[in-house]
Amino acid sequence: MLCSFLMVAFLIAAVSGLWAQASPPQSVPAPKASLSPNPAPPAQEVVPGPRTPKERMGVYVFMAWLWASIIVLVFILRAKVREADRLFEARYF
Amino acid sequence: MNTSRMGTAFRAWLDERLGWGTVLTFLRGKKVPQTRHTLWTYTGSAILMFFIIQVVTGIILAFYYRPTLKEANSSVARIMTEVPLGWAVRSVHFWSATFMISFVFIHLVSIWILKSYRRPREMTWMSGVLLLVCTMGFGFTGYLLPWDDLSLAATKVGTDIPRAIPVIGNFFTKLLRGGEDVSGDTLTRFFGIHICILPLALLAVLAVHVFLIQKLGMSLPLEAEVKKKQVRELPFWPNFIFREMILWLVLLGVLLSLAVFLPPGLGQAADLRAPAPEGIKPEWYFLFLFQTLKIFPAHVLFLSGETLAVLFILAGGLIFFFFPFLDTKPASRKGKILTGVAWLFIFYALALTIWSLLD
Repeated sequence: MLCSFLMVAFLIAAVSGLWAQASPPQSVPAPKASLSPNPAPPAQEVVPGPRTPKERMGVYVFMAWLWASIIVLVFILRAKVREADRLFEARYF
Repeated sequence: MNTSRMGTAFRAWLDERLGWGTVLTFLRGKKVPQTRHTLWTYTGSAILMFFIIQVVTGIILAFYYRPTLKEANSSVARIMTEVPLGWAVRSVHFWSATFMISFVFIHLVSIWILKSYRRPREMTWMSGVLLLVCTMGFGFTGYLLPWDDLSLAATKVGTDIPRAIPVIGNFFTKLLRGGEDVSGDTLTRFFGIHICILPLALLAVLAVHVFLIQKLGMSLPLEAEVKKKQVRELPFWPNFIFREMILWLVLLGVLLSLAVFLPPGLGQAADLRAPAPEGIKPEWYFLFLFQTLKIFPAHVLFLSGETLAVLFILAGGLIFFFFPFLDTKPASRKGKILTGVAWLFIFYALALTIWSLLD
């Protein structure tokens, strides 16, 4: 029960994080003319993420490689866990 | 001389100077209880992994970030647009912070419910609560650094809250802001706290926390204590470490995927004279505290509602910190009332977070 409850709590935290990310920007009133002596130039919208198609493709390839590596490593580690457990049961260490 | 002989000779050379053979012997002899609650012991090392990622990405960001009024927002924009993969580094920093705080909450709550804080582990619990405070401090100070509309407004609200504390409130707010109001001094101050004071504090408390865990070992679940039954144990090295590595890999994959596909944006540079935007909310981990402040009435008898709410939150924090001294039952007794209080608090925090999100 504790396990499932805490997982739900984590999921809510993650969803709320995503929500905050995905929510449209707050309606900000039109900025007043700045009274500072050197007003900053009007800010341009900064779009996060890869900027060129080449960079975007590079990121997708990296992600595919990353997950493929993770899957392979997890299989190897599972085998190592089984082997280590077997050696422990056999009182090897 | 072949490679294996050179390796053995090098290890012997190092051992003679550093004495790390003792540490390795300790790790080989260390045992971890295997029960149905063992899953929660993995959260500790996951937090450590996220902290290391935070340090590495934070150092990279600090190479380019400039903590001044004129350049803070534009330097973050530069990181996101001009620095090669800067947007990815910032995104990993952002998501790793979210994961780290989530796992600190899960770690503490699991220890709270499983009653692992009981004698002799009171100080382990207290150092864990201090680590939570440091982590939330990282979140609070880091939120201002991009210096956009929302971060400025949220910091104004956040740093104004201590004012409600009688006697020392005003002083504390001025200390945080570096003056009467949020300004460039606040930004510099928050940057200093974020990259210097908090990391040092966290490392010091973490050292104590890890030392206590090694000294006292991992606690047994309540059922094992009550029934005095023998619990299966596994060696820390290599059996437990291999299991932890599987979790680290999966978490790393999830973290990088989120960082790549959901990078955080950047608002327009903050204007100190502009009115605060509507619907200001802090980061998700402060929402239940924020909502607690909102639900208190304006006045309760002779006290202002805000003062009462802040005192209520401070009292709650102190009770949480000293909880092991309130629950002094032997490890084998259940203590149902305090377990009920813990569950009540968790439901309260979750309900208020959801309420604040929907508000």
